[in-house]
Amino acid sequence: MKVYVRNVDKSFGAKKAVSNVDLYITPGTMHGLLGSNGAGKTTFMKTLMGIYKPDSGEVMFDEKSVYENTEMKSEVIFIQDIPFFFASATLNKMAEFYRGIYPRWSEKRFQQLTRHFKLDPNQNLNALSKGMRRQASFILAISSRPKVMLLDEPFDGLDPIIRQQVKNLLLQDIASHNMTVIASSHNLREMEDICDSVSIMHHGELLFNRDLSEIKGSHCKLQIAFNQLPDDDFFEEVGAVHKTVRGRIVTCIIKGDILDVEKKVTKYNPLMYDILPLTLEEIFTYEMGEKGYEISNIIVE
Amino acid sequence: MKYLTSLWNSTLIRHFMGQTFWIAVLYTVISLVTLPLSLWVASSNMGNVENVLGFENNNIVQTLMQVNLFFGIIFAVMLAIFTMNFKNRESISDFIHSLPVKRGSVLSAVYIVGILLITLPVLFISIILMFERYILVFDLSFGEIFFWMINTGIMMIITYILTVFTGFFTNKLFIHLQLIVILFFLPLAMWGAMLTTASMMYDGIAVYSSMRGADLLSPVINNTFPVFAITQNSDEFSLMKSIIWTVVGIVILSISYFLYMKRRNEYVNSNFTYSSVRYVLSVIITILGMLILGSVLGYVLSGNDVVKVISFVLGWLGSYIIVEMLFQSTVKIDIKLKAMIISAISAIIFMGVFYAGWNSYTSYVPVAESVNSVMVYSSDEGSSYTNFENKEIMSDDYLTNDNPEFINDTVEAHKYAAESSVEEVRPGYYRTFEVAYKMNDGSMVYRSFDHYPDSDEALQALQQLDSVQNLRTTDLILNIEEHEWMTNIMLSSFSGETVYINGEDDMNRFINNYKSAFQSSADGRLDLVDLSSQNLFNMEIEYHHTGNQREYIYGNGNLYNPAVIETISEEMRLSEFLALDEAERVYEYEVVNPDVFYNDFKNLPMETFNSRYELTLLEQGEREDIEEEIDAGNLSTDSGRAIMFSNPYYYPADNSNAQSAQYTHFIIGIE
Repeated sequence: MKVYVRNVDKSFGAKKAVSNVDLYITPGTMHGLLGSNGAGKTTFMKTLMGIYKPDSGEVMFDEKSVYENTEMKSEVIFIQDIPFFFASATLNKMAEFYRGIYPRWSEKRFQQLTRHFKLDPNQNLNALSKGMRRQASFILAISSRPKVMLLDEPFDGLDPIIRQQVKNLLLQDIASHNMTVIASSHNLREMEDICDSVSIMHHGELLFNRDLSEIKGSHCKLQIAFNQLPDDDFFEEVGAVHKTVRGRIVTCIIKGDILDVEKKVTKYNPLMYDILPLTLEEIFTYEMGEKGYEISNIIVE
Repeated sequence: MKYLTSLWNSTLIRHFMGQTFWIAVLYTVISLVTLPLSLWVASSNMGNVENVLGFENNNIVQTLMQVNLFFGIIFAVMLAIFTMNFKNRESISDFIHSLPVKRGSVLSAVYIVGILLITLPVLFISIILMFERYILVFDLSFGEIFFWMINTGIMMIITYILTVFTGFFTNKLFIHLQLIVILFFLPLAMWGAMLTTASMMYDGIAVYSSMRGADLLSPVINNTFPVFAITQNSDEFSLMKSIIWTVVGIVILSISYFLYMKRRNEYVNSNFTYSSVRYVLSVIITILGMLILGSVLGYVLSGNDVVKVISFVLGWLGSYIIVEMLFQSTVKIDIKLKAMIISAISAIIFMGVFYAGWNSYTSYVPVAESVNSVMVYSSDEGSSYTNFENKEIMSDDYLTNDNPEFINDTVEAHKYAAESSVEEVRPGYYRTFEVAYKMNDGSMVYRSFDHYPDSDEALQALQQLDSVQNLRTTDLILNIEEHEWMTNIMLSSFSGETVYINGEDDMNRFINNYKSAFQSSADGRLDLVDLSSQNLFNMEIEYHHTGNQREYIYGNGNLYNPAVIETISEEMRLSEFLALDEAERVYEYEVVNPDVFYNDFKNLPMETFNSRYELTLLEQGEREDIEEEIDAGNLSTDSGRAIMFSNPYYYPADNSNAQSAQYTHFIIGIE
């Protein structure tokens, strides 16, 4: 299912939480939504889910608006950062509820996943640990066989083994049933591993939206040592968009045609150099740094 | 049809039903106790209930049905609050609104669950009552049970709808509870506070009144929804009001769908959904609190106008803080200067309008020509303590006087009262003057003064109201219209003695004799008739009209009417009836200047009165002679011979004018 967001604005009184966001997500892919704290990710996710009505713009799933559209919503599932279950609900009771609500509910999947994760289906879910509650939420969501899954901090609280199993389940549905996943997270390393594309939000705006393969083909990190530091022409020529200089060692992020970088670098006779792919964390830090959101040290008294 | 089916979501209905099921069970248990069980217990102890509590059969049924509806209203409120609680927490609100269910379906599920959980227990109790009625010693008809079932169900459903509706204005359970109390009782509380405050500043405001429907508070009390709903389970049932409230319920139900469609989930963490509603409520409730606290402070401090103003300012401040604590759900409130200033300015404007409005209200006196008829009640002149209720057994003219001269006199007396309405009232001084005008255009004007001025001119104006024509208007027996409904006539004295006239023939004979002798018995001094009506003697009739309900009417009667004297004398000695034989002192006096004499008797303490007139204190032998004369029925209002005897049941009161001779002593005229 295609997810198309056009010029979406969402405000809380005078505060704009989401500002003029455009986003297109290809069906059968996983999209990572990154951003600083308070960037508007959760608000955006809730707007995607149709919980909030956009002040302007539209959220379309296969060209149909999601807000108050039961047909669309029956194919979309949202797992909140803290999974919700009714008071005193057990996994079986929640399954009964989901069964009545989601038309594509698979009892077979539910039984299979419950057995696999070894959860007691008759235990009060709200009495379980954070990780187990999240497992339960995944069991319910995956059993509903949605076409789009919206996940807010999906792996928070899961141990590494379960985390991997959940990822595998998601990837299976993406591969086999063309499911689209949009996940917000602060764990960039994890997003880097499983996402096909990422976008970065800051102060309600979408700063950046790219396929990860595209990022890796257009961005790289250059570490280079000189006898004598070169002038600005060097940085301009290699297409450096960000640089840090420590003594005679220069580290810069290069954007653009990275295939010719080595040729351009050797012209300046460096003592040594290394061209490295950018991690998602570096992209994040760089993009956010451009907007003045960067790591600064503070020494407390 | 498709639209209706889309509103039905069985999963959500099951969910909401499961969440509130135990509240419904609790209500069912309470209903079992308040109706079937209590009725059975009452039936088992019927003798005791009748004799000890004086309840009648249908009073028990109605009372228990009302008690049941009281709990039913609380249940409906709690049911709605807990069913709607899903919108109060972000996690569940987000979850519910992420489901593939339209808001219309969610709200429909809320209403369906509410209606089911209300109707099922009511139906269950009705079925039990249908069987139980056969074992009760008193009558409980199918009709009564069916009426109770329908009425209780409708009233509870309306309560439920109103509670759901108010839920759309807040996102906190505690504030939801506050809002439903505000919705139900704010108009009553506001109006009550305004009237009480105004009545402390002005005289002439009928907060409570002996005239039925004439007070300013009753209409609001009677139309306050819970009060109205509970009184519907009685003889006071009003089909029109029920229809109006049902229509209101349907309109509110429609509006609640509209509000839900417009509701923005993102404000789930705000106490109020609409900040404008919050600020308007804050201003109104702060003013309400200001009136209450200001009045209490003003009363406790009882100072001059400056103290009163300070009391209201402090009342406003205290009230503002309390309201903010409630609305912010914390005692550590965040004061917003702008909102505070708006609230203060609103209070000042309100008080300006308040003063001007009540000033104009209490000083208004209608023009005599525009008055069609008038009812007057004064504690001093013209009429008696009677309750002025317009019962169906009485003629339309009962207590209503359309004589132009009397209307003129009333307007004149009213002018004196109105002129003094804003003057400082004297603590402990009471002289009641209540008036109800029916205007030519059909409208009514009521005023009730507690402190009629005691200037000579004012009292003279009041005395003008004393006439045979008015005596006729206020006489209970003369104005009975439906004789066949009567079951008893009671003649009672202040001492507690009562003579009963039962049986159709006896009652008719008494009424005919009373009527035929009325004119002659009213020819003498009306002061004596009034004084006996007010302090010594009254009449009461009992009648059955609808169902088994017994109705009573108290009213004026003429002690000097031969029919009264004869009837009492047949049962007991008249001196015993009047408690003359119990009096500590008995005086006699030949009245020379009756106007002054009776006026002094009404207003002077006995000691002063006695020293002014040098009354003859009767010795034992003389007392016995007088008692014999009275027992022989020789009462008279025109002989000029007055007997005054101490009131054996008098207890000193705080009221300064309650010390006057007319309260400490009784007076009768004898031949």
